[in-house]
Amino acid sequence: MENDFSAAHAWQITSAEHMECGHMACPGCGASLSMRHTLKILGAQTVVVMPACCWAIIAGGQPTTALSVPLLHTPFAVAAAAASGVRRALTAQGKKDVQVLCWAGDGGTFDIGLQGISGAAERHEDMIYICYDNEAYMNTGIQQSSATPHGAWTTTTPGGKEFQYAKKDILAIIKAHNPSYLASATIAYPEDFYAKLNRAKAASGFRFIHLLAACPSGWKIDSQDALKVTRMAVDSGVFPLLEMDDKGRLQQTCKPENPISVKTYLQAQGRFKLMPENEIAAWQQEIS
Amino acid sequence: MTELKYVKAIKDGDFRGLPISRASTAVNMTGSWKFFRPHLVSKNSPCREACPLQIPIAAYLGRLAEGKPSAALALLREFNPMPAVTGRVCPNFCQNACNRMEFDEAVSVGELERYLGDLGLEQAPDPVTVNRTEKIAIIGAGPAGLSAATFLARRGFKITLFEQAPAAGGLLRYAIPAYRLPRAILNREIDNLLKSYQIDLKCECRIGPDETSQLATEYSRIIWAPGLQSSRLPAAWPRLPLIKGALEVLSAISRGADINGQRFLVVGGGNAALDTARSLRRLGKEVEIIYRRTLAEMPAYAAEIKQALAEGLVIHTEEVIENVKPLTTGLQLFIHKSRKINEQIGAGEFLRTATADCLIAAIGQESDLRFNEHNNFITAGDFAHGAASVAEALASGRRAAETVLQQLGILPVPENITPDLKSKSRIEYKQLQLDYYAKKPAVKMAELDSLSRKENFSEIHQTLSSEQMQIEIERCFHCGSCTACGICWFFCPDVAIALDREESDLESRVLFDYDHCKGCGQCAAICPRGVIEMEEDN
Repeated sequence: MENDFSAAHAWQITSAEHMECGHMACPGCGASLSMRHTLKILGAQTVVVMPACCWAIIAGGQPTTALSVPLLHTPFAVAAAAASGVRRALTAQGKKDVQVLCWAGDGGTFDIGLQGISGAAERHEDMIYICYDNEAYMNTGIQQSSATPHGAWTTTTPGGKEFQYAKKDILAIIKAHNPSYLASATIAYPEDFYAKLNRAKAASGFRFIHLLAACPSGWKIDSQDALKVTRMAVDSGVFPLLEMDDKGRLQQTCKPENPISVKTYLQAQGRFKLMPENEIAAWQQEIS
Repeated sequence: MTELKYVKAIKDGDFRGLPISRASTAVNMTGSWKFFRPHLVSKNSPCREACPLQIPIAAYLGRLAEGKPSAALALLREFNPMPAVTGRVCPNFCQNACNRMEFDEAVSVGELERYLGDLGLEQAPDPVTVNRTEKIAIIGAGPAGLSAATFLARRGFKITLFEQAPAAGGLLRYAIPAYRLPRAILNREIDNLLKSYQIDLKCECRIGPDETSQLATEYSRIIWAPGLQSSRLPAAWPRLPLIKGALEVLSAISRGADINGQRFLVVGGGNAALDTARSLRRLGKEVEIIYRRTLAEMPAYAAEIKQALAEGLVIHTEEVIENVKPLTTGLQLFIHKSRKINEQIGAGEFLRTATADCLIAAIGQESDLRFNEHNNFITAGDFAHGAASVAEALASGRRAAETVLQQLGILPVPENITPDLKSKSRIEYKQLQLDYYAKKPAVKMAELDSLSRKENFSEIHQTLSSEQMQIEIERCFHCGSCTACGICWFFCPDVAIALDREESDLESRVLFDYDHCKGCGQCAAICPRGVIEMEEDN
């Protein structure tokens, strides 16, 4: 039962925490909750490597750290490269059982770190790369990234991101590198999240997980609604929960029991307030 | 201030020249960011509000879900002295109010209560000690009397229970058929109560008006709960030996007396009518029911009607017997169509005549017992409130016990044994957060098939197995009652909720770390049972 989420037995999830309280995340942060559970699954034998991203702030300023596992901060573009180095150094020391977790935001994955990931994936570096995607450069003040969905307000797209610039299909990009594990997940669907992280942990080689993580301030939602809205992203089909099967095809792992319209998902957030009806309809069309 | 906590994973000197953070962020009092803070507020579940005994169903099922059946049983017994009985015969008011009905199907609370009740047959309640000098007499060892005795004995009183029948149980023994309530179960339940609570039972002891004055001098208080012992007969019918009351027949069947005659007609639409008809059929008699209204209007419990029909019982609806004539053997009955006149049912057009060896009236109950009014007397049960369910009789007994305690000054007046539900709000379906629950059909008790069961008095339903119980218990939302399920702890992004897994009191297990909680409110939004609320943080 341990490390297998069920609503009736949530308390049976391991009580070991590798993330500390007092971290610098905003109230209701999806990224901090995702990290907490990722480390519950990966365990103490983990080294975290992260580029500039929200988490570089969340982890706390000198001399404090929010993680009780080693954490290496790197410049924006080189997280995957640095993680490759850490991996090889550990392997050289014979520490093959230590997991290397490369933990980056959407900016460090979709935009700035993309070449580093591509290189690490090409070399099949033995690491878990997790992109926690809050769909903009949140900690620097909510600037648009290539993970920002069309129609979304950011400080650099005050009228909403133009419709023709859709969110990059990061899973397709990584899939083209033939990774050993590839999935999308979110902590708002905890059974699915735990199952996927456990499978990624059990596999070896380059493993990539795309996590959707709500950002209450950037998405313009109330902090208590963060989980609800993230769940709505899945229920509306905007963020399908996928996993690559052994034939290299992406399969939906968790079909929503109560599907909702894209419009319902968008209307739950302030950032899509300016999105025109016809674009919402076109988005809905795209999904169904 | 939290002490600096050093991270052990990195040894000193490993990374000379690089800045390394080793202190925990726990030194940051992020709790100062918040405007609102979460706290636990338990609420009334609709099942509890619907229960005549106000049993905290969500809470005792929480203990059962946690894998602590003895603790669950203890909590259940605090409110209900006879769970093995009510788990079988209660119409389950709770299930008709269950919030899960809106989600998929009501939780089978009755079955779960019965599971615990059966467990309790093997685990008698903890014995009490008599430490009060006042003596209490209770007239009638039915559910109301036994309940009053239990609640008073728990406060240290010596109870004497007077019963006119040869054994205790009242209607449970002499009316409810064995296929609904096996006598072995009833005996065990009553024996446990008598032993644990040191109740002095005096059977075959009929108390009339003369004896009551005598009792009043001997006992500090007398609870009068003799029940309703005889069935009412329609005024229009002649008084003939072959016309009987349902209770008289049911009592004879319970005592194993011979029932003469072959063809029976039962008049009425309540549980007594069904119990009589189904019991007689189990003795090989031919029985039909005549009821003056429609099937849907029958006051009998729906489940009982369904079972009776499955057993092939014929129920003539919207018919009345207008006249009865004695024949040399048996009776001739004149059956008319019923007709509504100003909300009253009268006889309409003549339909047919029928013959029967015996006509049984199951149209209501009355009592022929009287007592002399006296200050020391408190009435309870069906005698006080009219025919009602077993749960209502148990509740009435508890209220009588409460009155005794208040009159003797043991309970200060506004204080009660019966919980005050008004102080808490009721939790509605909309206040629950059920994203993490899947739809699942209710587990039902195994039922004997209708063909074989109508031949004998074997119990129709079987108690859930522990596997079935496990499946069913996980369907309960435990509305308004913290079960320490851990969902709030799981979803706290700030690691500011702790679960004290060693704490025995469920509601004290969830601990909020207000020094670090940022007041995001996700725990309140995610709590399936709606027990976490946000309040202004001062």
